[in-house]
Amino acid sequence: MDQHIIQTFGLTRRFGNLVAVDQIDLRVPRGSVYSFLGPNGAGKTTTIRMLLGLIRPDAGKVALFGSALHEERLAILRRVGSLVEMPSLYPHLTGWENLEVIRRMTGGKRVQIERALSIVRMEGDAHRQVAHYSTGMRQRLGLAVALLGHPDLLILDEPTNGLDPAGIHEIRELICQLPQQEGVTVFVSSHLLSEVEQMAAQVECARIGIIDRGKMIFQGTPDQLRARYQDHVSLVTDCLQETEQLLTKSGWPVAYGGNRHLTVQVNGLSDAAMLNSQLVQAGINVYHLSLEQPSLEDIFLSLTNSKS
Amino acid sequence: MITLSRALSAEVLKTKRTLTLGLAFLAPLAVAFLEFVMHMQMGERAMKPGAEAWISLSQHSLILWTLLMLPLFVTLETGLLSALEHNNKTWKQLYALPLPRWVVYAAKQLTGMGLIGLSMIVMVTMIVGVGLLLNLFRPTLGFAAPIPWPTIIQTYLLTYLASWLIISLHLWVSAHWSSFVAAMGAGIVATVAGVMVINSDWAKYYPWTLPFMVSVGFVEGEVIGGQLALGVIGGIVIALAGGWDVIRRDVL
Repeated sequence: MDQHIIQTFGLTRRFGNLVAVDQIDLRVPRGSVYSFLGPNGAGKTTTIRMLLGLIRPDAGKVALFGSALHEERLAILRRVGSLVEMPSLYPHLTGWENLEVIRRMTGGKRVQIERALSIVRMEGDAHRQVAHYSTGMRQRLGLAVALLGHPDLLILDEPTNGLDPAGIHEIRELICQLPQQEGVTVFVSSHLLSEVEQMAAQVECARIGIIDRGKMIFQGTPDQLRARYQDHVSLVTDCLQETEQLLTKSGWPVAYGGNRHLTVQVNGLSDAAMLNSQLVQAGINVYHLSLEQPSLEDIFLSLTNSKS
Repeated sequence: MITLSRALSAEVLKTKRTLTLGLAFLAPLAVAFLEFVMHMQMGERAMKPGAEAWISLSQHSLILWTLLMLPLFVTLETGLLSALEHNNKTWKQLYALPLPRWVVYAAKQLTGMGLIGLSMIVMVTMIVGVGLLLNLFRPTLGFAAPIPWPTIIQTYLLTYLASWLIISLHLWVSAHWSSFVAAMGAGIVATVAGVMVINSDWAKYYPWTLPFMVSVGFVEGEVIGGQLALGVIGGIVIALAGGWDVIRRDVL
């Protein structure tokens, strides 16, 4: 039970007639970076608000660290740091004072502030008013607020929203180093697949959950996601019709692609080589042969478009 | 209790560099200034006939203070305390902290009550200051008499207690609705309505005229127990209701 830091069971929330979150079962393993992915309006923020107890589910339940959230809310929240949508900061206070407000409320030690500031590398700007901060600095300070209580779980809602590429890179680096350096499990939502893909490549234990129109349409490792979508070979020869007949006869799943080429579903590089030698032996001139592996981007788009 | 005192100290830090604290001095200062100018201009005509100078000044300032300035000042202070969270979208951060939600609200309520209490103390000090100044410029007005501290302090203390109800009401309104304009509008309308209500029988029950009724009633030696109870108990009940609202509602 406890190897999952976050578990939800049939989590559902409606707003009027709209089912914003529809029977979601999250499984977030300890020490992972879990990317919660979906287009805008898919129900990510609503789910996150339910994970933090900010709004109540209409059905289902949330368990964090193996305990039910509605029973042990305060004990659970003591181990959770969060950044929901834009960082919640007081612009008239300095960065340090913002952290001090939260520290006073949670009753931690002052050294926690220095520690959180050093993790997000903001020691130098801590005594400037937040009103004068750039978006990136605010986002980093928001992350510092989330890290303040030395949490075991970080819940971050679109932490790179509104950042420039350098800022996105920096936040991503920060997030990726947390599981190893601080032993934190990270649950991070995003609508940008490229970001998730890069994050998945950087961390040992990556998980991806995809939500669309309130429903969970995938949950697992990046490899499991890719495995759902086979590689294919894109092929151009001097006589496409003959090629198609020959390949169909030998049992390859062939289809006409647009722009005068064929696509053949294969299983890796060896299949592609076998396909090539078969064609050459049959006297067909191969102009172009390439193995194409779908990116997560393609998969995501096909997953989220398939139902529209 | 420890949690509440921590939340209070965070609340105090949040008012740094804001007008919240300054207003507790500015609002009484405005009333004191008007009183000073009025007494300088009008002299004896501003005094209540047959009354001691200090009591006359104290009562006169209470009219301006309790009927107009205080309700507007309460609206502004509670509005500012809530706007601090609404504008920066910080309610969600506060409610995701490991504190009971009611503690966050209680800290706001107590800060509001503390600020209004402070303004009452400032008001007493300033009124005495105005009297002493008038004694210098207008010695004939009678401010050479000893200052009746107990009466003045008691009057303001009772006025403060009677204002708990409007403090609670305005904090609830401003915390529930995110619009600062709505919170201000509610306060302005209620205050203007109070000026009309004051001459009717409703004045004893209308929250925004309670501080005035209690203060005047006390000076005139009337029975004010019921109105005082309405202000204090009503204030506590509405504060609890506001806290209950906060515990139950979705934080979007």
